[in-house]
Amino acid sequence: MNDTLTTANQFGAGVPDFGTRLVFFCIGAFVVILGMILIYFKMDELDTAKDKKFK
Amino acid sequence: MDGTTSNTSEVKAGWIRTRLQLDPIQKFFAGKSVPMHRHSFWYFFGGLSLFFFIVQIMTGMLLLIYYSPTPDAANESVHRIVFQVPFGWWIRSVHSWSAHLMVASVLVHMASTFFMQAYGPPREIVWMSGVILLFLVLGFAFTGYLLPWDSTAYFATQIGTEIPRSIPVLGEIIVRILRGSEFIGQETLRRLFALHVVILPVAAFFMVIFHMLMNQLHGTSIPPGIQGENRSIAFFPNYLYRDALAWSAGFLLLFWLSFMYPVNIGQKVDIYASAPPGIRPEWYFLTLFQTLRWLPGTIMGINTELLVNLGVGALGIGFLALPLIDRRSKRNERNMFIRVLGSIFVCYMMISIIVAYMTS
Repeated sequence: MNDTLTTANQFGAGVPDFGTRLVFFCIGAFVVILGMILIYFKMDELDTAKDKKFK
Repeated sequence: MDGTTSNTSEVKAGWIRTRLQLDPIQKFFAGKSVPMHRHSFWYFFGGLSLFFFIVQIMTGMLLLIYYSPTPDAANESVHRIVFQVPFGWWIRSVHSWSAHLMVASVLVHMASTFFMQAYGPPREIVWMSGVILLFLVLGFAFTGYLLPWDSTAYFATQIGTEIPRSIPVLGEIIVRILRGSEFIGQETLRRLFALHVVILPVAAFFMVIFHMLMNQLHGTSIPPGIQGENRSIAFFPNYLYRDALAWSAGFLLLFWLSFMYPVNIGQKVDIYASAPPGIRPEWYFLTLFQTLRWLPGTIMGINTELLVNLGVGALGIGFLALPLIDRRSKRNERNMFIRVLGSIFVCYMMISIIVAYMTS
């Protein structure tokens, strides 16, 4: 990335520095991973229900 | 949850189902099942392509609010998006990275469909609509490249739009249609912008709906040779949850790339300056670029660009008509010749991309 890009002039406008971007990523990743865990449990519940039905 | 709340929710759900006539729609989707076997992993790439397409539409709409499609204002408007609009840099970064990921997932989806011979009867039209979607996706990539109006975009588009010129009779017309004039300028920007934000999205939207509808009607195919080892699960809702997991993984990757590697913006192009050194197209056009670099200017007195154009045209038509060419797929038998040919092409693509990156 070009250094001239990292010239944030107010919150969110202009590309922030590496540390700030890392924090943004961690927050986003946390929310997505939490969503993935919930989806996985729901998926597992559905699959188990299906297996029971077939037994 | 107590009984009263549950009843109220059921009444509300029932009200919505009746008003929107959801039962026949649910029945239609519930009819599809997805085979689960050792190659099922590759099924995810169809859904991932759709996911990145949706991200493209959403971020594209946001960028459209600030972008100005004129040579005077285009570059400034992109600078404004990056440096003044809150989180504009991130939206632009997501748009750019999801374009790369969309092309990659479409290519993987096409390759997996090809090698699993999923284009056999009755799915010929599903394959053909998929090939048309691949062309549309590459069209998106090509038309979007010029929009920032910086040096790299300008000169790369100049080279890209020059390639069809060698085609007899049609070449000049194609170049003229793409550029709008002899040189790249306001007319070119306006045309590529119109293609990028209206014509191609509308065409892609209807083609995606058609592709998915046909896929829903014919179901997911099972590769030849593994019919005996599979079990099936319902697409709705069981497989949809697996798809949601794949979409989330795609989202995570998009998050990582867009935050950690924000997309750069070059300075406004000076059309009178010479082209900067090391100009090359994006990775998905590098095979064509490197092939032209490897070949001499003329082969047996014929212009190489013309030969490559004809080769690309023949390859595109052959790819589109593959279900009609591959007779073995009609009998649901493995076709080793087609698979070897496909493997050679994939290897050639990868080698040419690597060589182009290392030498330009």
